[in-house]
Amino acid sequence: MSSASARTGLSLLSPAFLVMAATLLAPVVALIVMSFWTQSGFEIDRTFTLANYARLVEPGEGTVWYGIRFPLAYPVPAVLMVKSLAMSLVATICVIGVAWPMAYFLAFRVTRYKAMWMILLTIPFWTSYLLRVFSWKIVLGFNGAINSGLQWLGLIKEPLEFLLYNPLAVMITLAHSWIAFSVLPIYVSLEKIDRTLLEAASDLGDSRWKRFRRITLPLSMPGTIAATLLVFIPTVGDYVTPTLVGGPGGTMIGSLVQQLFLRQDNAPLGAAISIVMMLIIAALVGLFLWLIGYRRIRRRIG
Amino acid sequence: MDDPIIRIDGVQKSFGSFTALNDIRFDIQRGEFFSLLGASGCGKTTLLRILAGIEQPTHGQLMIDGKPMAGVPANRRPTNMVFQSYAIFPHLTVRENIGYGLVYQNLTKAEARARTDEAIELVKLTGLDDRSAHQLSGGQRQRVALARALVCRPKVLLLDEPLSALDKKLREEMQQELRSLQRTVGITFVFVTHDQEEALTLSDRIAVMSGGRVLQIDTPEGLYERPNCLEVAEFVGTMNLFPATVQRMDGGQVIADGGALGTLVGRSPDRPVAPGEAILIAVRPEKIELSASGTTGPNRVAGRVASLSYLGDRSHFLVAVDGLAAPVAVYRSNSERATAAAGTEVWLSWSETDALVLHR
Repeated sequence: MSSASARTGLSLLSPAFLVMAATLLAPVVALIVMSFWTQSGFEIDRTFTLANYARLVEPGEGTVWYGIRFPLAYPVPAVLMVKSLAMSLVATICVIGVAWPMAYFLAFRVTRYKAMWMILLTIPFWTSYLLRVFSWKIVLGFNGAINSGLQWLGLIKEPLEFLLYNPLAVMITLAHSWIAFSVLPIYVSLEKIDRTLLEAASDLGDSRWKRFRRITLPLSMPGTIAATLLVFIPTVGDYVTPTLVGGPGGTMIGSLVQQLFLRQDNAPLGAAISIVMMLIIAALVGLFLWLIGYRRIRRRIG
Repeated sequence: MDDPIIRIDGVQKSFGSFTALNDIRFDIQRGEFFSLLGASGCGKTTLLRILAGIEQPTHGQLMIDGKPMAGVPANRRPTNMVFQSYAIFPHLTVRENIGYGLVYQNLTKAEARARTDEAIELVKLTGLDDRSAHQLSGGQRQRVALARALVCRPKVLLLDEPLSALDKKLREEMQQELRSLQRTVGITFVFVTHDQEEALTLSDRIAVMSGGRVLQIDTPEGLYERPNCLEVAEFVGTMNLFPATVQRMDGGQVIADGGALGTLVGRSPDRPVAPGEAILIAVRPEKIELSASGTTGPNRVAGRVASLSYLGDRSHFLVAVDGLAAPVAVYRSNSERATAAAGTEVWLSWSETDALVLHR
């Protein structure tokens, strides 16, 4: 690249860089710095210490959660971390499981009015995220749509209590919130597949199912991976959904961070947990991409 | 000889109200290099896709190797196709692409490997096994597509304009290779092209198509020397046309009145003509003699050289003739050293055996 076009490129990128620096880099740096401080009451002690991190790994009596032992003096963050990852994973799998067939339908079965189908798909997202979460509260609640419906049909006498305020409700709500976002990247990678590749596969002996497995699925991987990360990364740290529909059992790591910052007056510990969470997610995503050979896929399919 | 590899019997194909193919019927013999030639939109690719099983005919029957193909999907036909865009699978290497169809051939791993090696060698891609599609040039992609289809040992290889994306030099090279490859493997090739020169160079027989119909099926020589209609005559090579009216038939000859052009004599066509009928006398440019002076008589026309182009081995003249809208094209070999400058008056003449009679 010549220096002139490099300059043009950089100046085009600079607004994005500035926004990123102000809204992403600065808060993260502030968070890192804060995680080395301590707080008592409203007072922040700015002497450098690793105490917050030490506390997260300090051995102790610990607790058992779903058969997993956490031998830590303060096991809550670790338990919530594992729980959040597991819940996000389930929600992500559900999202991909629902979004993939939708994207496939849009890309391969819809020939006319594609734009209209897209708009239909996004209609639920014209309302705010908060309202959508609340509506699940109404659907799943004690006197909610499902319970009153089942009662009206005479299938149950007393309302079901296991619908709301538990991890299941959180996962359902998270999955619903993110489906439309994950349809698009999958749709794009499916739409990009040259249809003569499918004809060639049939011509070389593939049945429809074989062709799907050998051509369509591998070629959709870039979009499917993008959708997976797009859902998994933000849902791990979500705290709005657990707060509204999770109840005590549905708490996630984000809820703990929020509590530490706002209620328990221990922002430095909250910062340390956030940093650890970020690193763990980054490591997991890296591991995932390495396992599926993302670089090879990207080089070949682009 | 009546055991054709392909029998097309009254095939018709409609897309909505558009008829892409209309009552196609002909046979393709075993081991033939057969071309479907026509301008774009003539239905040649649709016919090829029907042979492959990618499209289904609206009406009519198709037999391949003696078996009716109705209801037989593409993956169970003894045909393989080389696509115009080559359709190389981008997520697979050259070797994986070529071996793609072999999983259905009941081979052991070692046999499949040997077959793939053989195919890679056949199309001269040795050493490129691990490349992926985007690391290949156009010519290499074409070879991968060819090897991928041939490795399955089809009874018929279908080729959809496989050379049209290559530059001229590479295209001529590939034509030679394709022809010798076909002789080596002995498989029937059905080759779709819009390039008449390519079709003439490669084929044993050619079907000229237009508007969803087959106009003529013949050898390259037959098509060039004996086109059966005006469309074929104009599509294959260059043709000079002289309008005339039939006066009488004399043995194998048609004697016609060319008006200002005098008497024109041509070879009788397969379909008879009647006196008084308006016809065209058609003469190829290289069959016309050019001379500075001439005697009167049949098939002699006076004109003036409008332009000439020197092409090394030969020269092309355009001769303006009174009473004709288009100038007459005359190709003369430069070994004759007989030349005429632009603007000079010349006489054009040709033998009556080189003059065809075409219906108007």
